[in-house]
Amino acid sequence: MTCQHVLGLIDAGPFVSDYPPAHLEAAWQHARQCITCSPALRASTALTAELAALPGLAPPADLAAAVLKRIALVEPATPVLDAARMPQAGTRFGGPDWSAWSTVLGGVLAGLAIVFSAPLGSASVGFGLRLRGMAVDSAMMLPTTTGGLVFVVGLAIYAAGLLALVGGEADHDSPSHDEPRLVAK
Amino acid sequence: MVRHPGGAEEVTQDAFVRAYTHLHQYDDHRPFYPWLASIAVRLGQNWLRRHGQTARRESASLDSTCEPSEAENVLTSLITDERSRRLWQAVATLPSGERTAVFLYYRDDLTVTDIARALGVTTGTIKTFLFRARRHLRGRLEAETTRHRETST
Repeated sequence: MTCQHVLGLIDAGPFVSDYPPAHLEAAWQHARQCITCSPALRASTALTAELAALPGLAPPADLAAAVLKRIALVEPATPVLDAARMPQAGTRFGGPDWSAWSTVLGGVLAGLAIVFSAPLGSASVGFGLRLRGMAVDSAMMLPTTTGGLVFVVGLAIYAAGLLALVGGEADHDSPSHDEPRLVAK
Repeated sequence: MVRHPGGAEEVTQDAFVRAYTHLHQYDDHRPFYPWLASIAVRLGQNWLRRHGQTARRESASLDSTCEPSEAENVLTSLITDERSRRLWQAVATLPSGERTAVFLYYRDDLTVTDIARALGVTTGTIKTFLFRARRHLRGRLEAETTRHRETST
């Protein structure tokens, strides 16, 4: 165990883990007793602590403002967003995504009304289609009965869902005067 | 790293702007600071190259040394503890790569891997930088201690 080797281990600092523990213990034993290596070991130990305590420079007070100003020059057209007004996660346009569900529900209701409504004599209303010479009777509905009511309600829900979908798409694509903006603080 | 107050400010701002405009390239599975540090190091090296200090004082590589700059002298005046001030002055004389590695490892607590990524070198190179830096600084500290002991007796 030479002084040169031990000094190398001392200067390696935290990167001596590749050596076997027994080898390191022997090196430190030598360092504690050697007139050359002992001061080096003390200095290295103190150095580690002092390096960790080196002060850092505080940033200039106007650093953030200067950076934001330069970003604005680089990307002036970037739409900035206010986190408080961002649509919530899981929603489409800032509210619950009920439009798709209402469209489906409305369609199902209307369809069920058609399927389960039975044609009844003179009170029934039916309409036929002439398609390529064939008369096709379409759905027979009862406008004043429950089935007719369900049908109308289903159509209304379906239409509302469709309109909400279409209206939401239009709002999303066009610029809005109320578009939220991020203000540099 | 650039050893110039105005240059340091410019490079710092450039680093933040570059990080913002290239945020889409950031891998959020990795820590942010080393990524930002790597941008700053590259910009610092570019600044040194552009401002013609390569020949006179310090090359864009990581191996050259020079005397403490104006910025470091300003900071030195703020450090009241004598021993810390001497250590700071000693660190300031280290080559650029060793100095940067010392700051990032000991002051900023980055790992060797993160420092290597930031400087664009291997982990072995960083360990070598730190080894050389520790040897140099230890030698200076020992010399200071010996001189102090001799003057006090």
